[in-house]
Amino acid sequence: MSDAPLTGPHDDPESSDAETPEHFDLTPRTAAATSSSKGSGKKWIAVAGVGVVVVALAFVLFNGLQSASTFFYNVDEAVAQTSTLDTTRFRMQGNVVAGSVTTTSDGVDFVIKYKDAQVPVHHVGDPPEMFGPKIPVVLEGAFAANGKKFESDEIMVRHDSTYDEKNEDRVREADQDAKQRATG
Amino acid sequence: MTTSASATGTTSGAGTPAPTSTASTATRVLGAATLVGIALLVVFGVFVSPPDKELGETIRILYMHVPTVSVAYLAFIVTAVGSAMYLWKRTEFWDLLAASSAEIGVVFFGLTILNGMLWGKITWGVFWRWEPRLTTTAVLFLTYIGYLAVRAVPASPRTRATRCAVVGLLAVVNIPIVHKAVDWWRGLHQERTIFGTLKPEIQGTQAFAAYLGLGVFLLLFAWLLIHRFRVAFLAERAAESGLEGAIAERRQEAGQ
Amino acid sequence: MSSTGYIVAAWVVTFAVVAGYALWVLARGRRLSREVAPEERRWMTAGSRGRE
Repeated sequence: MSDAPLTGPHDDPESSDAETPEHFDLTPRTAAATSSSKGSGKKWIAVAGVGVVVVALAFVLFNGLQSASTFFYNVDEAVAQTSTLDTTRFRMQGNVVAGSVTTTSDGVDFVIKYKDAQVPVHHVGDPPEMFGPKIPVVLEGAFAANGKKFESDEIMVRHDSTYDEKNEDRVREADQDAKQRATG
Repeated sequence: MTTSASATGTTSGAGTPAPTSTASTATRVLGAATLVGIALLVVFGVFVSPPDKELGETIRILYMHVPTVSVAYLAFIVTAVGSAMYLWKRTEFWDLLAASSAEIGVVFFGLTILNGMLWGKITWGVFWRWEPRLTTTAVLFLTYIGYLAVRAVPASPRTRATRCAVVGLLAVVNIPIVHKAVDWWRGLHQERTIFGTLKPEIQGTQAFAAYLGLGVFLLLFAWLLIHRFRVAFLAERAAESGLEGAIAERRQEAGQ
Repeated sequence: MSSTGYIVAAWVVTFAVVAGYALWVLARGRRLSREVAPEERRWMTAGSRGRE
């Protein structure tokens, strides 16, 4: 009987397998059986772990492809699609028009602008710390009053103003941002 | 065996007992340097450096965010190199290097995500959104957790090493995707790294804190990698000696 | 939580996790060292012992 099956993966030249006598007992023992069943339990937990990770990955990819590909519309794009968007929730990006911000009892009202398109926004809730005029923001919410108004419940501040001069071809209207910023 | 061991014992002189931990002179020196670096980083990153003109005090989170992500990427690249070298050379060294680096990478990348979420909460107003950079980041993180999960599946060292090497090579493809996500799709995340942010109007102590952070975390990575590699090496020897012990027992019985 | 709280949290969590991980690595090293023969843990040379 060869000891190869037992030591197969451990073909260590330094191990003492070479001097193994031919006649010693290699049949499994009760102790060995317990340890092997423990080993297979561990194996199943580990395989289940891989499975959980794969499922999570699939979920994130599915989620990501849906949501990340068009994370937001710019104001002009959203306005152009008013009838299609109707009252569905989406994200809209633009710059807060200077002088348009007024605090209301339940949040803030302001006008958001991108290229030539402008939409008045009614936001419910506290705006983030860095919210203010001229800042590029992404809003979450839906059109109301046939696209004449945007009802927002989440304001996210896009922080990237520093690199405007280097990214003129960015999706954001760089020169417009720069112009707005130059005055502030 | 004793003679050969003491002859090869470069760190511990001949006759001194074998180490009882994964430390050596080299790691102690490295560890001390890392601790000094961390102390300096806290001084400069938290207290000395001024708040940024654009980012305000939140730049201090980036002193953590940028080094952790840099080290995580480096760790994953080391894993990829180790994986490729394993498939070529088939030696234990490359397999253990790849695995050790992957674990450290996951720790640092997890920290990157945590720091990023805290920064996002202040700056954007939300911890998380499924925007391109964050989505691809989540994919990258899960892929390397998958690597560790594959590693945990019991198998012969060769089989396990081959499986992991394949995963380690496939996973690294994520890094350029995460990196370019801000250019390819619209999202919340800023386009450039901190160094891009700082360059135009770079301020002395801010730049110093940023580069110091990078240096300190590189030392930390080196220290962790050496220790973690030795742990992996010991784990392999322990697994072998467990098996060899069982065989020796049988052999003894057979000899009776 | 104020933004200062988040900033402090970022630093504290980062170093706490790194320290915790480092201690875990060291603890595993010490535990495994006891299970392994002394000639297998002569550092510096140990890593070069590749196997085909």
